[in-house]
Amino acid sequence: MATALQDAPRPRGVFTRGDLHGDTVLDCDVVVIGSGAGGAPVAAELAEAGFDVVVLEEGSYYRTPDFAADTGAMIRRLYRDGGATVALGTPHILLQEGRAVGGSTVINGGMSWRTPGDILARWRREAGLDVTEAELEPYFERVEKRIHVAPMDEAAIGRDNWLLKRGADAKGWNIIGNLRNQVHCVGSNRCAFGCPTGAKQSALVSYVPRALHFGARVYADVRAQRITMHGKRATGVIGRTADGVRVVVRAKLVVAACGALHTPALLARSGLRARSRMLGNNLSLHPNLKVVAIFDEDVTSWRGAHQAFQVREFADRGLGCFAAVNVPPSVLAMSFLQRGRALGELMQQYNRMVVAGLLCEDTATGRVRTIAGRPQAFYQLANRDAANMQRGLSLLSELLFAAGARRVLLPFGHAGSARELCGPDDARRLLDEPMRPREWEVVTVHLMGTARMGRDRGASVTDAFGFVHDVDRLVVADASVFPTPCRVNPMETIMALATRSAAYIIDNARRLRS
Amino acid sequence: MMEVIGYRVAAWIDEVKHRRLAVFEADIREQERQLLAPDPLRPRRAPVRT
Repeated sequence: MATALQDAPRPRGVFTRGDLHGDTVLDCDVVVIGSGAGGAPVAAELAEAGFDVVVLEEGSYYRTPDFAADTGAMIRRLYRDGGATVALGTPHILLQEGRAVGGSTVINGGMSWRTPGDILARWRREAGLDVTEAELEPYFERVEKRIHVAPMDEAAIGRDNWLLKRGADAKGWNIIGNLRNQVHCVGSNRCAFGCPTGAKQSALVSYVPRALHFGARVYADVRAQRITMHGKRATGVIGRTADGVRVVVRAKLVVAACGALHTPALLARSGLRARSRMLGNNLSLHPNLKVVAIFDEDVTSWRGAHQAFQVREFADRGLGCFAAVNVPPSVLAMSFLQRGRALGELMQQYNRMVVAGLLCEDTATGRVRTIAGRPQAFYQLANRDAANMQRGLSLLSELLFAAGARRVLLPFGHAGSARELCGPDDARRLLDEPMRPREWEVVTVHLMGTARMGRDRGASVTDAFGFVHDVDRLVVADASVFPTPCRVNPMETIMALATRSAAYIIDNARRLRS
Repeated sequence: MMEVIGYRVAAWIDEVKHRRLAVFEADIREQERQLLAPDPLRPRRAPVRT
């Protein structure tokens, strides 16, 4: 009863380091660097349109049966730097990016939301982009069909998410069912470690097989070192495997889709400098904070779909959403300040815990600099955003008490010690306490904006279709091009804009393939 | 430790994976079929005859 696509052996067209026995030269129409939410749709659309496409991916190729219950092993395999990349600032912010064929779609929660209309209006206003809901509609529709965006089957929703809903309903707050890219998700709650059931339609199991079907070649385990240039024209990529095998790709068009951390670094390593000086700047990242609620009842939050609901009550006030997110015990334990016996006693209550997080639509921007060839993010949380997040902690804790929580733990230092809230009054008092963001454990999985698109060459890096200003045949197709944060989970926006870029390339095929 | 706190995720994964395939096999196969079906982003142009 295995399914053909996901359990089959490595498909034809996928090459890994073991297949490359010496320096390799590849010729193609289009080389796509990165196979995640940006690269995979471009590769699939162009391959279907008859382009000869090569995809380079730094991470390895895995199949659904490779995604196991060993959380530590999955993090080491699927996350860049084992999930320990940070943006330097106060506080440091933990960045989490996928590094595998399929990119971060392999480890994201699968939330699939269109760009809000007011965000597109802001992009029109601030970046001069002609992007409207109507213009993007066919691209969103196409993406949603391809990755099967759908509401959750109710039977797959776990107790933690029903408790979040109970709390939101009790407060009278707006809560919505999540749309996710899944085919009958059954709630293994392992989205962040590679979906072991194959339900999540990550790029690995959707766009990548489609690209391969239409003739694309995918080279895994190859890190792009630099884009080759002939004058102002991009002519290909030089990459290398961890074993030192050199891979040279000669192409008529180069698409950089390495994410908002690595795309600006790749462009910088290639000697490209935007006239606007915006390359690597304008980094936004939707900072997240979490709290842990302890209930009297057994919740077993590891059974049931990841983030089945989102609380959107405060989305228009800078708090994009609240959500319940199961965190495996080995990871959650690292968040608590308790150690030894105290930590053991706390973790005994794991099955009665609900982990809930908030997402902030940030107003600060940071930057990515390339140091010794590698990107380093710098980001200083704005006081305004920190105050909003503190307000979010208070509101989220109130919600959890309204859902029946007995205690709410702030799993980080607060005023110098581990902090526990015992009721809604404690939650409200949080608002009046001095902020100590440097003690917070802030995390992000949404990096955006470091090669922003725009009409004005003096204020942007790419044009409205992702073509890098003043460079011929070089396109950026990932969240780097966002002019501002998009407030919602960015995957579908990335895919829609990438599909739109692919449409532009197809429309101009005669010129771009010459 | 995982056993002590009642975190039996491997067994849970096995259970739901088999349940999904047993109950939803037709829908799963339909999605796989659609994933590989032709659906060009731009209409293919008929060859120009000269």
